[in-house]
Amino acid sequence: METAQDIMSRNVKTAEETASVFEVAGMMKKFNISTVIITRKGKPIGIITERDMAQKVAAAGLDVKSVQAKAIMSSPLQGIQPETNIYYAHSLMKKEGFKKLPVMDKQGNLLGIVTQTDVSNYFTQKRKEFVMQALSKKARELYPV
Amino acid sequence: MEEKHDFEKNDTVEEIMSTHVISCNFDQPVQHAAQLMRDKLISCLIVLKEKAPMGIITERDIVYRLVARNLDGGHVLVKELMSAPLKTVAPEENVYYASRVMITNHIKKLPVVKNKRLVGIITQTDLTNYFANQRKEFILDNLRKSIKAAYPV
Repeated sequence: METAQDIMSRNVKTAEETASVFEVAGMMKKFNISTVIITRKGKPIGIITERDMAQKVAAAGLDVKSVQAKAIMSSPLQGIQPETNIYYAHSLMKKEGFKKLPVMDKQGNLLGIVTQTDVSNYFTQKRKEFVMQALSKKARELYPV
Repeated sequence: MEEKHDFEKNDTVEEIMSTHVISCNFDQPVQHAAQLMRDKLISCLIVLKEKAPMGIITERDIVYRLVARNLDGGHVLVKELMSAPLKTVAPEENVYYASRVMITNHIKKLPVVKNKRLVGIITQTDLTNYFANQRKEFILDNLRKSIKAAYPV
């Protein structure tokens, strides 16, 4: 059974809690990502997503250059472990309404992130494999050699 | 009767789409649109002009084109930030076709349009839930078959 570490993205961007909202948004745009993990002295403590930017910044009309990341981040971080099963990760997303789950080891070190896109790609891939298998089985039945 | 293969099933967009779509007007300020998204707990709005869908504004558009540029959402209008033209799908299309359109266009929301009117929306969340559910059913099915084979009654 596949686990979080098989499908997670390892290239996670982080910013210190004192970074401005403007800097964090700039990172999202530059790296074409939807999530930045917020750190305090290098230790992950929170998360900022596109949703936070829309709901807490744009909707409230905050001054993006003076507001710091820590003011809008979601904290504490709710993550999963590298051994977490993909089905469990998906049900956690559904239950909590999350689209991103940071993957952390027991010491709280950030290893990667699993997004809804990763989960979706996994299920789509499984589906393709299943269809290909079923088709080749049918082909073998129809045209035995 | 010949058994119908699972992959021949033809679930349509209509069966899994959300019919409750929230929209905004093309000449509203972006801040109002963001407030609407916040209050309705949604990640995108379909942009209407004279009741016809003309574009979409997503959380991503707001981050990349407003916050990252330090623009004032009270003055910038939705039509200046939205993504247009819209990629849409018809309600009677197959779910796999919708999934292909999303993957090839790198989009996560697909408005469903019939006779130029908005009738629903299908998102990556809907598709992920659909595929995950199919996969679960498939695994359960195999399990039931092997149990039956191992312990026939």
